[in-house]
Amino acid sequence: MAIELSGVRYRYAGAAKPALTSIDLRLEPGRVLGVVGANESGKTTLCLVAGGFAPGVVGGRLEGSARIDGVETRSIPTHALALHCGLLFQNAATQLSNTTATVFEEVGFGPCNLGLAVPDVIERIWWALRAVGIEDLAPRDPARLSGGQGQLVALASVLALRPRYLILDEPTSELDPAGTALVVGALARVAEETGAGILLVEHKTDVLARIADEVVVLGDGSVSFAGPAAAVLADPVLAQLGVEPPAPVALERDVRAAGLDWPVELGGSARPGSAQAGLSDSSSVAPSAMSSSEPSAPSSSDPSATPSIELERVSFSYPDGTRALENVGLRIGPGELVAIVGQNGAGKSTLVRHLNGLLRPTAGRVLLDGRDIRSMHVARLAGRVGLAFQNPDRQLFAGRVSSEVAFGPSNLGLRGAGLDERVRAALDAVGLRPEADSNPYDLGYSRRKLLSLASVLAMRTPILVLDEPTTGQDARGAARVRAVVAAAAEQGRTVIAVSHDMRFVAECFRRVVVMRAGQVVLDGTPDVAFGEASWRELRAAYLEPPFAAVAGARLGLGATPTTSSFVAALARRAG
Amino acid sequence: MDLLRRWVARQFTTRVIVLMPVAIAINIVLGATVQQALKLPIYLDSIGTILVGVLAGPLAGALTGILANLIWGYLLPAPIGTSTVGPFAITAGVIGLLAGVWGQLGLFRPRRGGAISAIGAIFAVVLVGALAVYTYARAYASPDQFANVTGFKPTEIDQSRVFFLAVMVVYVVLVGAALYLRRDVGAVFAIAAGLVTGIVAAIVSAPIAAIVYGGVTGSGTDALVAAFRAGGDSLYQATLKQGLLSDPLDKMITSFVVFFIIGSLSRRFVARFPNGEKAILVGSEPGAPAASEG
Amino acid sequence: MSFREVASEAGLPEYVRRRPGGFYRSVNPSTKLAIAALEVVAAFVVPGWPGPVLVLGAVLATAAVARRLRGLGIIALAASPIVGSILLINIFLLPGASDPIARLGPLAPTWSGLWFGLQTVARLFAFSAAIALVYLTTAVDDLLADLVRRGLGRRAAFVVGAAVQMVPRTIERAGEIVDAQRARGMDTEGRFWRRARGVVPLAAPVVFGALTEVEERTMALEARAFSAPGRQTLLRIPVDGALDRDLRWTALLGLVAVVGLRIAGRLG
Repeated sequence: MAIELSGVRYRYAGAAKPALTSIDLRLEPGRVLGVVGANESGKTTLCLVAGGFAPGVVGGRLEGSARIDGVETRSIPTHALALHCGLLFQNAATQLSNTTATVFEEVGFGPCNLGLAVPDVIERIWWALRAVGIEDLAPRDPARLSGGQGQLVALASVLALRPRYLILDEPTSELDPAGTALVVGALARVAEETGAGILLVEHKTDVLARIADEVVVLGDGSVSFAGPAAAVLADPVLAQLGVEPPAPVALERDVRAAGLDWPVELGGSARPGSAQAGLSDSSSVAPSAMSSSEPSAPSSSDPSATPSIELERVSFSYPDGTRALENVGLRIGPGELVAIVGQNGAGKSTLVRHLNGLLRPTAGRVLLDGRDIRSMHVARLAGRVGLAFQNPDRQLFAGRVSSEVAFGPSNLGLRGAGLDERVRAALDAVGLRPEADSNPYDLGYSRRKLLSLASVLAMRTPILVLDEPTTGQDARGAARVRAVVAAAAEQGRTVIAVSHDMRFVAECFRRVVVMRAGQVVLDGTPDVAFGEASWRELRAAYLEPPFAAVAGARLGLGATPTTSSFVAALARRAG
Repeated sequence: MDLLRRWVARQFTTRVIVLMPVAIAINIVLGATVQQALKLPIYLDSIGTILVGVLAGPLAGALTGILANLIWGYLLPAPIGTSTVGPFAITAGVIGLLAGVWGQLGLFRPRRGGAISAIGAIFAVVLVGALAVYTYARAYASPDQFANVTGFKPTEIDQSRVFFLAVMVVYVVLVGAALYLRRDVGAVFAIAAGLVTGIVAAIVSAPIAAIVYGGVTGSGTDALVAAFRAGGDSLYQATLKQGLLSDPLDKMITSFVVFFIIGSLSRRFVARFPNGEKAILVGSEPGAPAASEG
Repeated sequence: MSFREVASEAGLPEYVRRRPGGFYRSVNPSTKLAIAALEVVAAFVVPGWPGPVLVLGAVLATAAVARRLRGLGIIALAASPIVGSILLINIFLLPGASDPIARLGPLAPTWSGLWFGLQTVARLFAFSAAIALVYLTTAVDDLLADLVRRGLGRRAAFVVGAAVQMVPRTIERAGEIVDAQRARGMDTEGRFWRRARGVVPLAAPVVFGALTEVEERTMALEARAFSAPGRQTLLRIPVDGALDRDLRWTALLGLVAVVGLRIAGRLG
């Protein structure tokens, strides 16, 4: 009774190289198997092969043996695959059937497809809703749920088919911390109540630390190594393979690298689950060793070239009446590095859209260098305030990466050699120069995000606004983003980022603005915002401070929002 | 019989069933907004239909077109719902059917260079040109009335030649633009296919427009219909003449757009469709991850 | 599998059962379709004025009682450009008309042109209103559920249902795309040429964004056993009472009768 892959080698139809070269893996019911790896190491392909969807639904060539409960997946008819394995993907919205009006019917979509009798269908629906813990969502419209809720509905929908195994491909990558916690909690619940075997692909190794029994590390289409979760996640090789270790592990590594002892009070981080006993930390992880320096003061350029931007008592309501911003006052001076954090729906995206004129306040003013931007066209403001959207697919249209990057600057009037130079520089900054002639849709999602970032960088705006730049990125991608922020800071540009990634925020920004329900509830340096005095406020905004801050507070070291400040404080205490 | 059933089943894989509503939504959203933005007789409301036809086959294409028009006309609230497009579901069905045939013939395949392709392209242009000449000569075979109204002497202007030339000029311009943008001889075939589709669409639409709407559409092209009627043409003739001016233009552009779209999608993704193999570059290319993987 | 298992409905929560209430709204969707079909055919097949007028009268009366006149009004308003064109073209350019209303220079509006134009407009309104009435009094998923129960394949129902839901979503996405491109400096107002250049950066992400989702949506459907053979279970089925059935058969027979009479030349 297991999903068993032995000697699996898989090549997509029309591809030159195989996506998986040699996979041996076993998933038993009742166990949670975590899978990590750099982007494009074959994680999604692994999910499809394990679930029988490759080659069943996507074609391609499978060599070796892929068996579910002893039966080769090749010989299972497509529609029966779902009865063995439930598959879940990143995007909650694309997993909806789009034909149902309530969550109840959505969860019943699978059993109805099977043609079961109505009483059986109803029974299964309630069973699935209860197993995931979302009975109260049953009457809601599936299209109007938050990301986390949507993923729970998707989970219930596949559970209703009573599969013995669940395979989830990065289910939390698009979610805020609250949504992530929801999904992880539901998974733990499901594992316990249904005894299903769960294969979970994740970037957020903290999540795996909490619920995985074993972890497999993929590199270049094969298993680099595998073992019990605690051991694998603590292994230093992880970072070399492009995977960020869980926050406690990373912190311990930095502490030991500085020649200090890991404090006993924090427990053994070799068992990441226990290190978090008594500490709660659901923040996602950012690479530690690579760029943990504090952002430096702007050095080269003239700060007066960068304008200040200010929201003066800004309120905003959407046409349907939803109040998104309530009397927000925020002044961002030239060259500041500001992170805006908060739960989805707190108003962060609405706020940043006021900065470049996409939204106009229903009350109050937005001032650029003291002048009201009300009369300025968005197209003109685009030359002063560059906004990189969270979803790159909202912007990509050109047939070539370089043309895509050139779009922004050419709208601003650049041509010829100047334009080419800008494009080159921007592509270099995100590491996409080798792909300059590729089709953007041939790049994976994370690299498309970098492309979208490059296309805004090329506009060389004095103010740079980034909307969730690190979601969906692996360690390398996240490092690139951090480098971009650092470089912009050095040029004296203002960088404003919306992010869920508290470590990224603590390490790269010098000012944290916390939003809740359309208002700014906290505004200060990372020391202040993540210091113990602010935790209640943070938790009320559904946020968690970075692990370093929590550990520092536990040891009474004062404010230590970043790993380097923690190490420094620890060194001071020791020495 | 069994062969027929299998041919039908082959065109309606789950992937095609998923593509169809997406294509229908694209038809409707682009159709409603592009025309409004540009105010030209370019509707781009068949992109989805032709796309499904080329990738999945004639039946799937036809069904996409029919359903798109019915949904657009009768199942959506105003302002998006436009009740006037409903009866043209028949035309949309024909467009999808033809697109399936072109796809089956591999006319939407990228062909980067090669002497044979170029020769084939010239052949296609000649063939299509001949068809167009014939159609226009038949349809506009009454230079006299036109002359009466506009005052041009009959011997100076032959309506059919004028309009045929206009269409061919557009064809050449489009092909030129396509080659400039894509360096792909396949564009010639795709646009030629669009021209034929446009002619057929005009012929099929004319009676519908005449019977249901008295030949008008509520847009600027009605002035053309009025001009032709003033020249003494029957309702059907006037509608046909107007259609033969706007439909081939629209369908040529649409076909090129679809050709461009298919060429821009991941090869792996396209190959998974029933007729996808006929729409991708021949020979192996280094496989790149499809958008959803990696 | 019998669909008349009303007892099994007991387990369905009320928000799922959602029985439509109100005049005409509670009529079975297929019956409404049959009635609309009769009305559409009658509007075209019965020559002259009686056809369109009778149909329009029936539709307006039904709409009034069902309190849906406003919806019909909106649709009529949306059709005004085409109505204007029809009237203008026929008033001025009806071939063979020889009873001018007045002489305005080279143009001569005619009474028979006006008459014919009005008739065409009446026919247009009649058949549009007949179909619109179905839409205004029926929820799409009720309609689809009823058709599936009568044998429509689950895949066709899926295509229609998903397309209807996807259109507003695509429009929303198009709005986001406009914002995203404006943030890159694209000018969306201005002269024609600028707008033309804007078509590709706006339309392409709509198209590509929608297409790149197809793969994941396909997997999601397969993961919910969409391609399973056999008939799909329907959780909710619109009521089909005796009155509904009688009305439906009457409408269909009426349709046959009208067509037959026209073919036989009995309608003049």
